[in-house]
Amino acid sequence: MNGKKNFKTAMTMFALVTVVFSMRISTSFAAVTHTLYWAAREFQQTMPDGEIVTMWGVVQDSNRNLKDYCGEIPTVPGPLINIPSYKNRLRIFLRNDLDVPVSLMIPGLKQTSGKNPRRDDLDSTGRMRVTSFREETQPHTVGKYEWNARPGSFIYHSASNPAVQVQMGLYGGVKQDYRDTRQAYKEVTTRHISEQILFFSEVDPDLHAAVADGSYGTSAYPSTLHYNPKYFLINGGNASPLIVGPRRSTVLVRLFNTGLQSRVPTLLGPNWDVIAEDGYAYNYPKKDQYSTLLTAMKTKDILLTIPASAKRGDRYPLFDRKLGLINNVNVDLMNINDPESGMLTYLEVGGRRPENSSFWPWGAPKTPGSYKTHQRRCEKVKLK
Amino acid sequence: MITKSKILDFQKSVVIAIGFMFFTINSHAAIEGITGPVFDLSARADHLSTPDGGSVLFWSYAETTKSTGQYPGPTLIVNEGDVVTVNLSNDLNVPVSVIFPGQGLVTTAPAGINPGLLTEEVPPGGGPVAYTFTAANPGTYTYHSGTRMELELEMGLVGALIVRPTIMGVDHAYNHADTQFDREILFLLTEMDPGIHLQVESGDMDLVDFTQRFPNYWFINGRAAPDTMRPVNDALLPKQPYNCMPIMHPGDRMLLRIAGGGSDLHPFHHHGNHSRVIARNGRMLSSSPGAGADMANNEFTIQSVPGQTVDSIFEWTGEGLGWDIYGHPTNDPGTLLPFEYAADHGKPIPTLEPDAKDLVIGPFYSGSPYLGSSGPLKPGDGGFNLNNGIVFMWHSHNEREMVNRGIFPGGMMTMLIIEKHPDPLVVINP
Repeated sequence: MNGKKNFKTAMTMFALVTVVFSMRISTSFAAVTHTLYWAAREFQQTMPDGEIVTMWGVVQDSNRNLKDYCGEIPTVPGPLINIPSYKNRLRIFLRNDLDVPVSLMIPGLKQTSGKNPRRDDLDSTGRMRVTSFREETQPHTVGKYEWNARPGSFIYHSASNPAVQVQMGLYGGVKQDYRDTRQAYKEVTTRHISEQILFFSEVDPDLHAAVADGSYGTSAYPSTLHYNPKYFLINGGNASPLIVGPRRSTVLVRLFNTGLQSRVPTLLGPNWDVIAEDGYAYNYPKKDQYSTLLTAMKTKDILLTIPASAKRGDRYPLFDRKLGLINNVNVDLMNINDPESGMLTYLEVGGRRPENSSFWPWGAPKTPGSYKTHQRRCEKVKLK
Repeated sequence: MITKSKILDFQKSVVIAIGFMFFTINSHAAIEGITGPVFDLSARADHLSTPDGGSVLFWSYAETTKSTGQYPGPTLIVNEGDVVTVNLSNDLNVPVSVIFPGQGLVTTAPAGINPGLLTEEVPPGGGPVAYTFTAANPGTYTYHSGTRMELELEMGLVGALIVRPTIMGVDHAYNHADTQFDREILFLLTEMDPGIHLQVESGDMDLVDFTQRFPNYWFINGRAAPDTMRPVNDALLPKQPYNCMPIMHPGDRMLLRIAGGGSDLHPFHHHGNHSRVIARNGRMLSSSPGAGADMANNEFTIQSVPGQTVDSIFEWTGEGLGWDIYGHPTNDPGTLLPFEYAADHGKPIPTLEPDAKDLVIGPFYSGSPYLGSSGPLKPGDGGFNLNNGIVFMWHSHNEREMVNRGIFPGGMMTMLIIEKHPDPLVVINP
């Protein structure tokens, strides 16, 4: 009798100890999540030649509750997701203010929530068609998407009807450093003093007009078959010169291409090292190069050391050698010295003091958790 | 009496006679170009000739001392460490300039008088403006206009720049033994949309819509096939002095310098063998300084990106075919020819050769599958392969680019001819 009781006690103790130990093990893998509150909305954007084009973009909800709209204007590209190095998960709550279902995917990051494709259109043989790569967020509802994070540069974009929705503007960048002390990758031991983002994108205004006036999908504008971009943009517009560090300093340049055509960013002056592609550092960086091929939806990371002879204000032209260089401008009217010319910008040498050079022209927050509040009139949003 | 065989003899001799009117001995294994390090160039307009009978207005850099334009710009050949100066004058009615991607900082004299978006410009009818840089690194590069690039590059303002290494010498691509070559050949790849050139010629250059650009001509070193195979400085192509006619012996190391001079990507495919890519954009594929081209990889289709260059070594001996390329009899005890693959010596070709009358063959077949041997040809066949070499087509594998305005053969294409040791290399031009 005693033996049985002792055995039971021993087993209970054993079970307790096992539970305690497994709890200890699981706490060392606790998820630290970077959480964002976004809305997907339609808005009007002025192109470099003055034309107004309807776009779809995402914007951060200033109240972080997704219950009201306080006048936030979306951007294309959307807000840059800057995940702090100590966080290993990303969560986005997305309120869909459009009239079509949307979704989110980030090629290169493992998605853990909202990841199942939508299958539809059952045919006579029992097959279904994938109509969205990820779980849809229906119009006027809120969806949740989660990923495991890792250091690198990535692109988020809509996974629903991507031929239309990505072109309409539902995309943006994601970045995480390996260490917040400006080390981009574990394998890349050179630290950078400053960082710049270079987003290459295209806009086909005819497609946007068809979507805006409802003629997309009709016989007037049946599909994206005749996609023909007219605007070639850097960072969503005409990029002003991008300030990099002072001479002898190292700058990290993250390149993103969300157009459908390949681009060939080419730098005149100093040469750069291409250190990573698609969020993976090369075993052997491509050193001392002046050019790199950036295919559609590709990200590449570059380290550039500013020459010792550089002076503050020196500008190094950075242009697309695939010559996406005109922005729907009547060339007759183009002032040759006015940089309306498409995918052309400059890296400008900064001053002695390290500048705050993560210059994001559309005002998206650079640091996690800071939201611009335009607390004017906030209207409650009607959700389904 | 006129017999059938006499007629055949006569026809063959006519073919050979015509052939000899055009042959050229390719005695130099180096790339055509001009040496500096000071160059006087002028941006000029002229017309080039395409094999479909086309005449296309182009703009390009020409040597100022020449009386005409030339396409592409001259290949500038300098030595590592040279201080290079290009004095550019402008005979066009638009501003031009020249930039040198990969050559570091370029100074101009004057500077700041006509600043363009990328560099100092030369106003119409003006110049010379001196562009100066130090060619610090050996390799293959391009130079092109930095003004209104989408227009001026389409019109042809582009050329190649080759920097020779000083330590290892002119038969090396870089300062390492891995980059030694026996012969070298340049492939400067470009395209043209003749509709745009017509608009420019009609005075409508400011109305061109570049989003509708649709090339219909493709060039290697300024010539469209089959003109790629005509001689250098051919009198019939006075504005297009360079050709692209690769020719070698088995065992030669041929350096391919493939430069993207246009604005489209091209998959350059060289039939016959893989090549070993040793450098990209003027930098050896090296794991660390002094390691040579230890990161080289084999490719048989080389991706040519606009503005970028690839250096690759091509070799061919017949190894891997599995039969004796010279047709030695089985159990032949004879000595091996230079670079002959010993394991295949005396192995028969693993097929029955069809009768000549059952074949339709083009101008490059010698009549025999064996290297250095000829065979019976029907009247009108052959004639372009005087030394009975083995011929491989080298071309853009974007098949649409192998035509001239839709007519095949044409465009971005040429032939490699491999000729038997130790014959002097002879090529007959179509």
